[in-house]
Amino acid sequence: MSSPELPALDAAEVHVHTAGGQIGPITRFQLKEKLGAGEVSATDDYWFAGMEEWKPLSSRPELFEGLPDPSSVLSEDDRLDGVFSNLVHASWDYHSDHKFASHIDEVFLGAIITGYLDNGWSLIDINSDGTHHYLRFEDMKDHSRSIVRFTHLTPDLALSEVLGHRASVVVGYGERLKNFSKVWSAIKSEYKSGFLAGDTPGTISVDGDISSQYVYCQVPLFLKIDDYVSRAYEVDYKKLDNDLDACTHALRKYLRARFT
Amino acid sequence: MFGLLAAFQHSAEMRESKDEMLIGEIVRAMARQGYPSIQFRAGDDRQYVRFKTVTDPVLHTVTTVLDRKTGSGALSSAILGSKATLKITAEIQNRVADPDDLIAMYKTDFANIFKMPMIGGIKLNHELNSVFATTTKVIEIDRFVNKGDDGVAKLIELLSGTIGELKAKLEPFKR
Repeated sequence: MSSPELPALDAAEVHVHTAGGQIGPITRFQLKEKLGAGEVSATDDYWFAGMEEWKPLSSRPELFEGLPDPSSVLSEDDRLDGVFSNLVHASWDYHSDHKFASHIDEVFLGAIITGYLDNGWSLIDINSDGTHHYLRFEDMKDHSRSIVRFTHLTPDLALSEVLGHRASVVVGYGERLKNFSKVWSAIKSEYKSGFLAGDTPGTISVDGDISSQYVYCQVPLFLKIDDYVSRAYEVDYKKLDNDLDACTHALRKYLRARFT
Repeated sequence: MFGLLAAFQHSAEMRESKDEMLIGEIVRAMARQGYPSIQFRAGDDRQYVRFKTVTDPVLHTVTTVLDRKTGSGALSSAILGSKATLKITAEIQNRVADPDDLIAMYKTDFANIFKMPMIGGIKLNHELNSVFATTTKVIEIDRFVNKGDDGVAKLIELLSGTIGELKAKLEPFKR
């Protein structure tokens, strides 16, 4: 009498008599796994639908030998689920890249705050609508102030891939002047600055606040945010501190030369 | 005379800026834990900052919302101090893509969340791929700002303690 056809690889149809009792129904993949783990012996008897009697596993080794990798044998349901999963995972990666492109400026904003605070400044003003950001710091010892205002110019993923993450940045430095005439002179300069064309990089403009007697010097720049923030959200604080320190130094020198 | 007015103006500005000072310290404390800021909405008395918990294997983001209630004026500051509410929300994100897992997650997580909508002041909320836990604390801003290293240490203790509590509530939902 011929042996019945073997069950499909992923069909739970095999029963086995082991030393510990009867197990099943299990698939042929599971049988192979249990043989490997020593939970089932080749001398144990097995049975599946169509057989007339129980027989030792060793009498039909093709039941569990030479089986393909289970992951390569999938039902249509599992195969389609796999395709769907891959689509979703690829979409997550795409979504992640878009998110990063849209919030790298806010990582930069946090890095500026952290860098300033580490250098002894306190944050005294913050305004942000998600695209335009404004920060004001004060050194509590000498009451000098620093301002950083910036706008992310390339929040779109495609643009940032081509141009990098560019930002227009204005860095300012201010001091409280005791002499009112100096403040008044700064306000006159601010008025004259209004006649100058545009925000040409490197042009230092002057601003004055009569109520607090602060005079500020400001310089517009263009920075590449990716020079400071990596895709892994790591910040190059050394470069950031160095660059902001250089701006503050230049503005302080200019302000003191003109107004003190 | 002008000097006096300027000094008065300056002290008013400093009083009004305490919540900004605290936000600055929160941003720095979170950055030191490896959580960079990824979203800001900052106005006069309410500051919203979202952080990406890059170095945490369970959490996806943490959001802080500082809402100043008292103390921006000289009188209210003297009488009531500088009270604020600090809302902290932690989020886990499950990138579940297998349809069978999605069905199972939807059923079990929703059932669990509705059984315990509030645990020790922590609210849980489920938005399919994300689960959020939120708690709100009433804080005195003066405990943390202009207090040097001691104030910073207290702030770090408050943040890491609260985030730890929220994380413990969210861990069972992480896939």
